[in-house]
Amino acid sequence: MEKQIYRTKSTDRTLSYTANKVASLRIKDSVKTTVRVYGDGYIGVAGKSGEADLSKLEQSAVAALGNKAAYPAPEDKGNKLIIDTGKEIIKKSELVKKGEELIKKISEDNQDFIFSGKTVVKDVEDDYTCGNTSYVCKSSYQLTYFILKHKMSASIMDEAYGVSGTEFDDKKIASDVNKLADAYLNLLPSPEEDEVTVISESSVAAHLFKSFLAQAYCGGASLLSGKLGKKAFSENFSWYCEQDPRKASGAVFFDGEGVVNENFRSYFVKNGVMCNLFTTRQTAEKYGVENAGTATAPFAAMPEEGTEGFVAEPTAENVADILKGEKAVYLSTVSGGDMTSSGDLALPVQTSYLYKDGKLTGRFPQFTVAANILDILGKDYLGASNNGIWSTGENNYIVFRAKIVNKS
Amino acid sequence: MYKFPENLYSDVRIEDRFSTLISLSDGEISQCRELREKKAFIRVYDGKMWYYASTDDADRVQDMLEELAQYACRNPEIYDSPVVKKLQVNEDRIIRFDKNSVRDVPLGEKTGFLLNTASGVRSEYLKAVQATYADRYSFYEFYSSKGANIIYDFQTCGIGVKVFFAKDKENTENYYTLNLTDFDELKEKTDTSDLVKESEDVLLHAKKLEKAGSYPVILSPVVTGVFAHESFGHKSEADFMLGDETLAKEWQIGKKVGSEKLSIVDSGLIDGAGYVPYDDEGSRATRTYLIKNGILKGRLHSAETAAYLGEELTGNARATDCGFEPIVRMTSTFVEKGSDKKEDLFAGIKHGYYIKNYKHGSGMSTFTIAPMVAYEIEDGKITCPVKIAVITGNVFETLSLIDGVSDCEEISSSPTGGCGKMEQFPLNVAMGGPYIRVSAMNVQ
Repeated sequence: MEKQIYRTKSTDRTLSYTANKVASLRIKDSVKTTVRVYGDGYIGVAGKSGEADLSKLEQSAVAALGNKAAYPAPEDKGNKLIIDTGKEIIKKSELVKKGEELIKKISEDNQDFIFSGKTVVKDVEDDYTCGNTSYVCKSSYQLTYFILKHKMSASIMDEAYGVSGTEFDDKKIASDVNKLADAYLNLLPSPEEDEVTVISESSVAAHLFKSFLAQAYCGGASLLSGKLGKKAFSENFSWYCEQDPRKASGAVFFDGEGVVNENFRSYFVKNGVMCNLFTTRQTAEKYGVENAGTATAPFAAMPEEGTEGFVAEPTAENVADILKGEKAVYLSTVSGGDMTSSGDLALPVQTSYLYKDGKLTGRFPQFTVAANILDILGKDYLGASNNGIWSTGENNYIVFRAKIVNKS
Repeated sequence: MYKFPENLYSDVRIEDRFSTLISLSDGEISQCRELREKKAFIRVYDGKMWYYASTDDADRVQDMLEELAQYACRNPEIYDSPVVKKLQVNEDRIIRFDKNSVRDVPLGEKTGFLLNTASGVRSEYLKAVQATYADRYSFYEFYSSKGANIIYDFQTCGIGVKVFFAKDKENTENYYTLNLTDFDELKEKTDTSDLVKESEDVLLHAKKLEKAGSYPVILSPVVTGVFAHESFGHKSEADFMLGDETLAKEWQIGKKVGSEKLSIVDSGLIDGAGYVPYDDEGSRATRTYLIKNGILKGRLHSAETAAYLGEELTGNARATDCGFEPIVRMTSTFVEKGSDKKEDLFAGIKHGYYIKNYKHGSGMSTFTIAPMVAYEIEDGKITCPVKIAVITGNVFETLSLIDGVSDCEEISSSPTGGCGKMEQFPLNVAMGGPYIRVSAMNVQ
């Protein structure tokens, strides 16, 4: 009987900012252990929060084989690897002081605004063992975000800023917040053109996630059905799951089932060709497709298809290199947005900015971006970059042409 | 019980949660989990800052209280703090679900119910079906240094069935959900018969939206619920007003904020996912009018926001689980039923749209709802399904444009989803209302 153990140990320290002050400190230490056993073509799972007695968990998992959940047994490749990128991002004893300094600086520099938000500093260790295979991935990262509320505004929030990564550079964060606040205050008329060049977070592509699910795709219920192995997007568009913790903070180099991909990366679109589907080992076997190796390991549960950590492969060092001197509209805050089964996407844009000469120079009134997702990533796709808007943090932008409607 | 540190306010919340999650993918088990977790959340307040700790070892609560006390500054006048003064001291025990607890229903019976339901969904166009059963029984304890001592339980169980239909190059997805508090009642009331008919109709007959623009729109009760929750409910959460004089002036009680036909209520007293007899800082649930006949009537509070604004507690300080601190959240939020006949709402529309079901909603100054199933209305009659990506609008303009409210209402919730705010998702909430007609909404 094969056995897998997946354990996640994490330590969080979270500062909360309310109305320009540090309002709270939260301490959270957690350990979650999941044991999966495989026998007669079935999987049994058990999990425990806190310190776990592995033999008791294994007994519970064996009992759960009786649930008759079919699942292929895992492969024990006997590999061992440890990647440790953990470090002290901020000394625990200095976190409150650092947070107080940062919120004081940005609220003094931007007296038209009230700031609230959080700084989360996290150390995580993911361990996987299966027979002679064992992997350990340790990492540390921080996430800071601020909600900007203009003092004269009747809205509950007017803008948001967020930064994540392995550094907490308070000077760069303050500088970026200042840039955003300055641009916000310079209200421009709506763009005259009906079609504009747009800079967006690459997460827009996430509207395609459902179309990449093996079940939907193989059942013919995907917008992309029939396109696996074929060119479906712009040649410039490549889309992958980054699993290298040295390149993406918080990434784990093995998936929830212990699969390690070549170069810690799994492509779903390469040079415009749809090359993979979201799978687990179970769905890959069921639908006869390659396993993407991006499954998640939900606590005390069976593996599931993963949809985290996706980036558009950069085509240029900086978005300015893609634009070649052309101005563009940077989408900062989008309220929801969705697409029809035909791929027609509508993004109600709450805040957007004129991007000119490498800078955010002013804010546009609200409008809606209307485009087909296959065009955004196809004929209207101009490229992707990790740089060009903010001076710190991990970012990934895509640039495309799209229509704007509902202009104020 | 606990020895609370002196010259500080502190409280302890413990949740012993049993939960089940079973998913089927095309009739095969793709997820099966029964889990029991006991966690605690500890708060210490010194009058300036809150110090929080979350632990999955309830035996460590006393240690955590003492550790947090070391971060805080002892304050002999802490019980004179306006925030601490606001905190209620309730002693109560409300156990409602121990006789029909989902803990006592065998996993096999739950799996069998789900298999039966999923296998009943049949169509020549059905390409994939994902069915999920989820339940939860929680036993809560709350103790504070002011003397609060509260015990209550909570339960939900529900089913969701998602279908993917396709024919040639056309495809569509649809969803059925029912979330209740009793397993036997859930089995009895689950009925997916309309799901297939409706999905086939959408697949075979849905047309593209001819022209994006502003149209009269009718929202079904479930869509009215998400509209009330997203468009106005979040704005009623008073933590957004902390330290903000402009918002305090703009949001004065008594201000006209919507059509006279519109009343929105939040209540933690209603059975279901939004049942919260005591919030996570020990305040008793209330029934709070947010809007009554178009007039701003109230808002949702924690002790901190109630103290800041000089208003009464409402029982809305809530956390997703014992990993997080309570913040101001909704419970069951709904538009009150009106006096219009449903048929009359439709009869008044020459050309417009009926939004029957939704995928998701969100909202700030602009709200957005992504329809799952929508229909065109011509000369007062529903004609054919239509593909709509989103309906959007400015919140306050839209609230003023509600010109019809039906005389029947429904409140519902999701077995697996819920409300998200900042880092906390999903929080169990319910939402609903009657059919409402809005004279103009952006349809994309």
